[in-house]
Amino acid sequence: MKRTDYQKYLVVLLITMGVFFVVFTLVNTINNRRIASIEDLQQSITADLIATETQFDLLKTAPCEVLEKGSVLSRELGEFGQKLEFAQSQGADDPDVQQLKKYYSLLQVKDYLLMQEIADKCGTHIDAILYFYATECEDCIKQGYVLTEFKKRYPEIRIYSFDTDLDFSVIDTFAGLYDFDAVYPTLIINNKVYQSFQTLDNLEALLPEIVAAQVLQDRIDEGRNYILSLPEYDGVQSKDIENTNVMSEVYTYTISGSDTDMVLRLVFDPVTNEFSLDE
Amino acid sequence: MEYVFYVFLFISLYFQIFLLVSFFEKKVDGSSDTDTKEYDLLTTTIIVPCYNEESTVVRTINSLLALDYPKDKLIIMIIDDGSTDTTWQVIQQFVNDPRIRLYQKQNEGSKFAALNYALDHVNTELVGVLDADSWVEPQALKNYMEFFADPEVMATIPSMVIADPDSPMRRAQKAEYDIGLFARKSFANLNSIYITPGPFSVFRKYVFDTLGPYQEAHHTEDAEIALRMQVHGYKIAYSDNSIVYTVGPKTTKPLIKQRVRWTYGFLKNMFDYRGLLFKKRYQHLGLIVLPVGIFRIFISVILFPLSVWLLFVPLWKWYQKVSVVGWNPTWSWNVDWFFVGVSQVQLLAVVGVFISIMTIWIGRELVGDRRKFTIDIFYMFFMYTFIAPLWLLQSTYNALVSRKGTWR
Repeated sequence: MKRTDYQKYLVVLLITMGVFFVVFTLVNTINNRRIASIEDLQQSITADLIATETQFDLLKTAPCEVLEKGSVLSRELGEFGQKLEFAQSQGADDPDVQQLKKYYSLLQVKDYLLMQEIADKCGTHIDAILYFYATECEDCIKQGYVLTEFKKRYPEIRIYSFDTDLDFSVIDTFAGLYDFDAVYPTLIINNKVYQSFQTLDNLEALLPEIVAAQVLQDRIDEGRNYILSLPEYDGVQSKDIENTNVMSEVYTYTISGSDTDMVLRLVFDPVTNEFSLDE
Repeated sequence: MEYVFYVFLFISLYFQIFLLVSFFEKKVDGSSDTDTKEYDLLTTTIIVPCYNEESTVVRTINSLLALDYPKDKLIIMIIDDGSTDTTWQVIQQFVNDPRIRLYQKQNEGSKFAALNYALDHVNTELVGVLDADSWVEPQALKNYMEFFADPEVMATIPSMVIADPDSPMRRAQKAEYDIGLFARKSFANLNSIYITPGPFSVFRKYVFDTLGPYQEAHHTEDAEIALRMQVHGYKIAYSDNSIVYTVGPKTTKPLIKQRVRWTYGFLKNMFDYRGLLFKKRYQHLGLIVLPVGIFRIFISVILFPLSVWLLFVPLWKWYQKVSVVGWNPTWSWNVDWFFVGVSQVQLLAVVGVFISIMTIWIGRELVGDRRKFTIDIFYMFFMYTFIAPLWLLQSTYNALVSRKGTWR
């Protein structure tokens, strides 16, 4: 063996160590970022918990319109949930994540109760799904996918999910309100208990109002796009077109111009699935 | 346990990089060769052992007859090793060519006997072997002479290419053999070639005169003779311009059988030649090439199921998701780093796969094939993930309990 041969072994060793170093550093950087955002999450959740408390206090005095628009929590809740689930799947049983999930569950319970209060006070109805799951549950993974997809299609739905393995008294008490067997997945939709895997179609059948509302919303958006596509409304911005009324198949829009507002009525033909201008 | 994986991955990666570095290393004693240089054309005998090869032997012999080599310096010995089909009748068509010698013998159940039978009749300077399922390019033999001009070179091996792959397993082998070309060149630079394969390895007759004939060697006589030569410090060269085509088993079952025989033979031969291992005297061959060769068989049994797992779990999750909510991809460029979940093992696996693909390209470049992304590569990874563990486990088990595989 020549000296250059041993040098080669060393050089290759250095290269290989270099590759390992880069790989480990990269993974570490990503993990550190995740830990950092988990810390952010912790702060947001704490802040939101205080906000919910305050909302309860405000409930007595504030008018209904303000209250209904006031809670932006539900939107954030979904994101929190996803991040926590993912963090848990990555870092197995990180105590920080476990603790955070408890806070998150608490926040969800509070938000749900607040929504109920508002609904009672204002006489409105809010569609919500309570979802109880366990770790050792094959269908729960699928149910999770379905619920995520449902939320994506119908953003107005409020989904509150609870990990029953979390060993958290609040969840136990909350689950006790509905008195169901420890079979998962368990879904509670408008106070009815469903203890089996629910497909996307099932959920849509169980929540017809939210589906109808979404269909209407989509139709309104289509109508707006239709107006934008007309040559005589060239240059009109999407945000300047507002839907003001829907009567059977007639959709009324108001276009705010620089000097005057203009009212436009569209007729939707359910047979051809197309809009036309109301003459 | 986790650390064991990393050690395995480290050694695998180290070896891959070691071969890459060796490949590109300039030979220090490389004389400035010019293509126009004329080399002595040594007298050569090519032995073609046949056992029930009636359908392929004609093409093999025709390719030898078409070699660009002086007629008076080439002898082709066809040994019918007791075929039970019409091989003997089929080869009679060549009886009138002055270069052809036909022999018929009793089958003794192993190829090495047929080769030794032929060696007794050889009196040329060089002697080569060509399996009856392979065929050569016209320049293959002439290109060898550049290497035999070096009196230290005792044998030269060719570039083996899988011809016209027509089944998934053959496509997989095509990519695998292309990596083999790369590895061969690296091993040649390291002076560590440890196999002189049946398709068109050519030796100086001196090798057999001094080291004795072929041995049974657990049905892998082509590996044993190379190891014996290495022990005695005989140099084995690799002529990348000499191309020989072969076919390889068409389906999974015979492929596994072939590989069990190879791996079993390799392990048993390594046991017989354990004196080579970790000896400074045998340089790279003893210090790294053979030890890693053995080590890789054992770690493959562990690493491949792991990579299946890494591949299979995300696929299964994806399938579950698609099966309940349908496939509606939403692709956004705003990757939220929070949801990027990669592990060290996954990234290292990506590095390994990347180097493997690179070595396929390098191997192809050697034989003038410039295709890059072909389906073969996918099939090869499939083969190595799902099928290789079977033959590795089987042959390891056989070697441990010393159960002999069958030759054919």
